[in-house]
Amino acid sequence: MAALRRDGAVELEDIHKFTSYLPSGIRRSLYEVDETVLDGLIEVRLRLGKPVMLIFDRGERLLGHNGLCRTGEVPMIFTRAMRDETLQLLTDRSVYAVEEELKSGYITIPGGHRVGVVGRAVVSNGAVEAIVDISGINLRMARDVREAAAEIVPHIVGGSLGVYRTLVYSPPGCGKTTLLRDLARRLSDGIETPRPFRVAIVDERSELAGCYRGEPQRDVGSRTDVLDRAPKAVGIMTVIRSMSPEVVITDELGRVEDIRAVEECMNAGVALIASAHAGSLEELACRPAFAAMMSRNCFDLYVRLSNRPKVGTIAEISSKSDAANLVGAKLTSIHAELGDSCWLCR
Amino acid sequence: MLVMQVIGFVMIFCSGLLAGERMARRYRARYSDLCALRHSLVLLETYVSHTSQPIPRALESVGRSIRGRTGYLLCRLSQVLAGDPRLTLLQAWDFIWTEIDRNGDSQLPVLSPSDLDILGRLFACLGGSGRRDQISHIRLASESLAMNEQAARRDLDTYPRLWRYLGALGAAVLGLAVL
Repeated sequence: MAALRRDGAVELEDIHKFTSYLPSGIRRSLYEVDETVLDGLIEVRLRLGKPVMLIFDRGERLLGHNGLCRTGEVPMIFTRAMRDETLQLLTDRSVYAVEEELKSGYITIPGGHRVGVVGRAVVSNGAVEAIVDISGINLRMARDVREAAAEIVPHIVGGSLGVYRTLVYSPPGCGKTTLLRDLARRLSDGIETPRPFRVAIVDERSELAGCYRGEPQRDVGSRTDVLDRAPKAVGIMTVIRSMSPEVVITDELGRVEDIRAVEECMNAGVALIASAHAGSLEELACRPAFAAMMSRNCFDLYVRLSNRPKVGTIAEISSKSDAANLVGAKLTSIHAELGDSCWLCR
Repeated sequence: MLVMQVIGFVMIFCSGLLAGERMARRYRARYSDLCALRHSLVLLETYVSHTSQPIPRALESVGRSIRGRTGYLLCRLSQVLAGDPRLTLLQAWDFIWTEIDRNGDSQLPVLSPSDLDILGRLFACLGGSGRRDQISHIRLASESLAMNEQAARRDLDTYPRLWRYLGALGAAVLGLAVL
């Protein structure tokens, strides 16, 4: 078992750049906060008419008018004027230019930081047309944890492709994305691997590479190509055809349409490294898409992450035979249930 | 002595003529600047509706294609925005006019308080909402400027001549009084 080392300390300059997207009132107050405290900043949560909330690695604090809110002090309230100013600063004074991105509920800003937004959704034909009257903004500070994948690399390097096809799974908040990002960098730059690999990242939610206007803001290695905001099923096939990678990395597999793309990878001699939400291999086998992938030996290794004792702890590594055995019984029941319409038999 | 008096009279008269001409030019300049501003808003609307260029870059592109005093104003605005990413559009706009009040800048367009008010209202909401909303704001500002442009056209027919006469006659009267 190994824990991810959270030594991705952020330069103070980066924090100042991050806070420059906040309205002047909040910025002024943040200047009063001690630098060592500010170093642990993870998120800034802004809700209309509510106090400005800062999430640090050691818990959450309210922002006052002169630094962090002390006992009995009135916290700073996030007003409409502040909301408008924040939106202007986040979008380079051009909300219209990120209208499409806003539909998905988040935008990525320079530095690879992700900003989630909520408000009134304008829905048409069951799809979100726009998010207007934005009432909540969550600025999440992106950090590189450069040692995140150090422990996993020796396990996944090897085999005929040079890298084992690997599925990293865990419940949310266990460090899957961070691990994949560092893994991409290590494989791409040949850090602790026999040779560097051509890596392609299919980044459906701009989380892995943190692309801003197509340019990766996070360090994902010098031989890494990033296809940003493409649906995984389409994106995986696109990068295989266009960039001839040796390794494809993507986040959060799980839809039925992903199966074909994963198989495409397998048949093209490309190693796929992906992540999925699941607490155990059994839970993974309960999901139809993964049951199909497991039964077809789409992955050589299954790595379970845990947040105990630390985020990014490798809790278990299973082989493809373990997964195939486990999924056998599940598949029989799925097939019996679906009958002729069983997509597993196609 | 008489020669000196004549020279003095001629100098006063010329100064009056120049002052009148200068005032007359301001009317011509305002009219042509309003035309250029309306033209730049049409271009800006195209950038907003058909491209995803952020406002600072769109302003720079429009400024470069319009040139002249209006082009200079838009490029200057774009420079101020690029220089400080923490400034909103309205703050940058206010900054430019504060700077002019302090230092003066003859390269900027000749605009009346009413024109500045229209532009101020536009810059207060430009970039702050979706594409359709932005186009409405730009068109509203453009229509308001069109009305001011019509008024400027009417002023152009009347006031420049008035200022020229006023300059010449005023100077002549002053010159005679001095004589």
